[in-house]
Amino acid sequence: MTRPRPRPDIAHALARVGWARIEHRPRPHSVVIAGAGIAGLRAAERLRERGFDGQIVFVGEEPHKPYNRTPLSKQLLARTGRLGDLKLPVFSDLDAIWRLGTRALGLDVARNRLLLARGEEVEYDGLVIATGVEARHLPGTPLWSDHVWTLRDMTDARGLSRRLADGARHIAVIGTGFIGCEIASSLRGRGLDVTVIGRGGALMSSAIGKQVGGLMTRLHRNNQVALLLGRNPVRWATADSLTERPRSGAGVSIWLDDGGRVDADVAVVAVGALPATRWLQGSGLDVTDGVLTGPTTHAVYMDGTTPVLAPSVVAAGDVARWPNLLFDWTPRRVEHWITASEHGQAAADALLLGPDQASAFTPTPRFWTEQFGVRLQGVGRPGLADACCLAEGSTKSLEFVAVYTRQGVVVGAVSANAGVRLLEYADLIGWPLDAPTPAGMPAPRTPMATV
Amino acid sequence: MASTAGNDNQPHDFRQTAWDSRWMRPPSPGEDLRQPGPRTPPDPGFTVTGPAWSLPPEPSPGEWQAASATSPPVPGQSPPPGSGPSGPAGPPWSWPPSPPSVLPPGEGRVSAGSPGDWRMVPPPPPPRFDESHPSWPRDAIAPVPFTGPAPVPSVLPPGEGRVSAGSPGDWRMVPSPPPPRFDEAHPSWPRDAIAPVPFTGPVPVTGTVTGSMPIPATGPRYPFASQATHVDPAPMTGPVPTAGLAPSLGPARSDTGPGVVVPSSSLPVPAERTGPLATGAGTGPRPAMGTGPLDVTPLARLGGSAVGRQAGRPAFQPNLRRRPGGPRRRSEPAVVSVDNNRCHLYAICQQEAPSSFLLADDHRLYYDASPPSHQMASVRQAARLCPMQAITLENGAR
Repeated sequence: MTRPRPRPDIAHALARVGWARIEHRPRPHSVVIAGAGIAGLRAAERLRERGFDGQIVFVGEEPHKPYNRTPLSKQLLARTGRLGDLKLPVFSDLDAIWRLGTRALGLDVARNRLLLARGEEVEYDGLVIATGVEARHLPGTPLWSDHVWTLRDMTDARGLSRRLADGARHIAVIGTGFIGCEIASSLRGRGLDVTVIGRGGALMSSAIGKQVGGLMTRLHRNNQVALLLGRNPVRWATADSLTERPRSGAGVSIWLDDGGRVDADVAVVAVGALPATRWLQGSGLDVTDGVLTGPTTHAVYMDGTTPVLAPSVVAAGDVARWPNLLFDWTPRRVEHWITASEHGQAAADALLLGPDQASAFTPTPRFWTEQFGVRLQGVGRPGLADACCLAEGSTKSLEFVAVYTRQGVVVGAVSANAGVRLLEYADLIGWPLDAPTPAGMPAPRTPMATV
Repeated sequence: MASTAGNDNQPHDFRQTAWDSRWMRPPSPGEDLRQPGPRTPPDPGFTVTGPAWSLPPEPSPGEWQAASATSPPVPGQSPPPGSGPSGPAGPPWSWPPSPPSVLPPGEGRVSAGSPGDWRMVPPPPPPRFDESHPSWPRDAIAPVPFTGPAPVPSVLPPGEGRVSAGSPGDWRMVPSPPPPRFDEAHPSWPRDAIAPVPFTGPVPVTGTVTGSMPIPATGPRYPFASQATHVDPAPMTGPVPTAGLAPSLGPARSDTGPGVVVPSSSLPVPAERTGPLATGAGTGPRPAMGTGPLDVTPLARLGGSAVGRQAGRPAFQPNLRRRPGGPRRRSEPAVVSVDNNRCHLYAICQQEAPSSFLLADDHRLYYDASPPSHQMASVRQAARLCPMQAITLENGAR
C-alpha cells in the first residue's frame, strides 16, 4: 500500500506540470442543439455513437426532455394509451446539458453564438437547429379561450383532455389534415360527437391525393363523423368571451362562410404547422418557410449577397427545408416523424464531416396514420404527384396499394392495411412506370387500373 | 446540477467529525461524558422529531402531473454496466479515415507491378524431411525422384535445410536435389511449363452488354442502382427434364427395357448395422431372425426403442414442439422483444433491419430475438423508428 514517494522537488515539478496541463487544456468541443425534440435527440445520440466526446447542450423551450409526440393525437386522445407510451428509447449515454424551458432568441453565425434570454450567449462549435414547427393559427380564432385548442405538444394534449373530461359531448375539429383526422377518429372512438370542418374537398387530400382521400372521407362518413368540407370559419364565439356570445349551452359557436353555424363544446384547430424560425430573423439564414439548407443539411448563410453553406450550422427535422435529391432539387420541408429521426442523425453526421465530405441526405419519407382501424401508411411524397393509380388490392375492403406518379415517374405510394406490400413500392420511387422492359423479361400483362 | 437541497452530494466528512468529536480529545475537567455533546450526530433511533404520519404526504398528482415527473424519459441515466460515466462508448471517431494499409509491392501474394506483369504465386515449399516420418528412408542420401515442378524460390538456401538423420546425433548435409527432368514429369503437367504463362487479367468486354437496361445520359434522373426494380425471372416452361438427370430411371414402359429392374435376380443385400439385434457379420445376406410367436417386428426396427439408438436424431420428430420461427440459432439470451399488443404491422422494422425482422404473409411478425452483433445497429434503428414503439431491447442492447 505504500508507494515510493518521489523527491519533494520532483513531486512539485510533477504537480506544476499537471496544473499547467489542466490550465492549458484545449476547450472541449461543444455542440448546441436548439430544440429538444426527436430530431435533436437523434442528433445527439448519433454524435455520441460517432465518438464525439465534447459537450452537448440542449436548448429547449418545453420543460420536458424529448418525448414521442405521435401518441398525443392517437392513443392518448383515444385513452387507449398511457403516459409511458411517450417514452423514447435512447441507446447511448448522451451526457448532455439540458437547458429546458429556455428559448433561443437569436443566432450570431459569424461569432458562433446562440443568444438566450437575459443577454446570455452560448458559444458553440456546431449548432443543430431542430426547433420544429408550431401549430398554425387561423386569423380570428380565439385561441386564448378555454374552449378552443390546438394540439401540438404535451401541454396542449393535457389541457384538451382536461377540457374533454369536463363533460364535453360535441367537438368541432377545424382542419382535414392528418392531425385533424386522427383527432376525429380518436374522439369518435370515445363516443363523442365530432364535426370536421375543412376547406378541401376530401380528407387529407393535400397529402395523399383526392382518390385515397375520398376513400378516407367515406370511411369517416361511415363512422358518423359530420363532415363539413369546403367551408371556412369566419366568426367565432366562445362562452368565456365578453363580446361574443355563443348559443346557450354551447362552449363555442363557429359561423362558416356558407352561412352555417356549428355549436360545439370544444373546438380543436388543426390547420397545419409553421416552422419555428422567428428567432432566426436577422441571423443571415434563409428562413422563408423553414431553414433553408443544402442537400447535406448545412444551413445556407447569406454572406452579404452570396449564399454560402455554414459549416457549423445544420438544421434537421420539421424546421429544415432541404432538397431531397431522391426527387428533385427543390427544397421542401417534410413533417414526418420517421424522417425527423433520420434527419437528426444525418445532421449529426454532416456536422462532423463538414459540407465537403458529407453526403446528401436523401431519405425516403415514410408516414403512417391509423383511423378507425385502417392503417394508412405511405412512402415518398404522394403530395407531389399528378396521377394516382391503384396498384393492387381492392378499395372496397380498404386493403390496397396506390402508386403516385409525377410525369410518369413514381414519387410515392400509399397503402391501407397492407404495410408489407408497401416495401416493394418504396424501391419503385424514382423509376418511371413505363420504363422499357429489359430484354429477356416478360412484358407486363395487364395495365394498371385507375381508381 | 446546482442542487443545494440537502447537500447530499457531499459525503459526510467522518474525519472532521472524529477530529472534532469529544471522543478524540481528552475530556475537559468538568465535562460529563454521559451527556451528548454538541457535535455528536443524533441517534436516529431516539431523536424522531415527530410521529411518522406527520411526514409530508407522498405527492399523488394526477395523470398529467405524473407526466412531468416520469416523462419524458431521462436518457442516459441508466448507463449500461460496461461503460463508464464519462466518455462515450466506442473509439473516437475521426474523419477522414486513414487510408487502408497497402502491402508494399512484392510482399503480397502477387507482385504488383504493371497489370501485365502478373506472376504466379510460388508454390509452397516442399515439406521438410521429418526424421520421424515412417515412409521416409532413413539412410536416403538422394531423395525420392522429383516429379513435380521445380520449387522456384526455396525458403531455405540449398544445402542447408535438407538434412537427413541417420541418428539423432549424426547430422549430415544433404545435397541439393537434382534438377528436375521434365521428361519424367507427370503426364498431366505441361512439358514446357518452365516459364509461367503471364496472366493478363480479365479481358475487357467490348461492345454492348446485352441484357441490361440502357441508361440514358440525359433525361430524367434515375435513382441509385440499389433501387433497381426487382423482376422475377421468367418461369420455366415445358416438361421437367428428368430423363437427362436420371436416364436409368426413366418412365417405366410395358416391356422390360433396360431401365426396369428384374426382381427375379437375387440382389445383394447391403450391409446392415451391427447391433445387438443384427447377428453375424456385417456383410452378406442377413440371416432370418426369429420374431417370436407373435410375429412382430422388433421395436428397434421401428425406431420405437431407445435401447439401440446410437445414431443422430431423425430428421423429423413430430413430438418436438416446433417453434414458429424455427429454433433459435444462438444460445444467447433474447435481447429483442416485440410487444404483440402494440405492434400494428407497419413493417418499418423490416425496412430497417430486413435480416432480423420479417413480416410474413400470414400477418405475423417473425423476428430474431438474439441477432448477431453486427446487426444490432440496424435493429436499434428499427427500434427507434418503430411507429408504435413496440420493439424493446434488453439493457440497452449495446
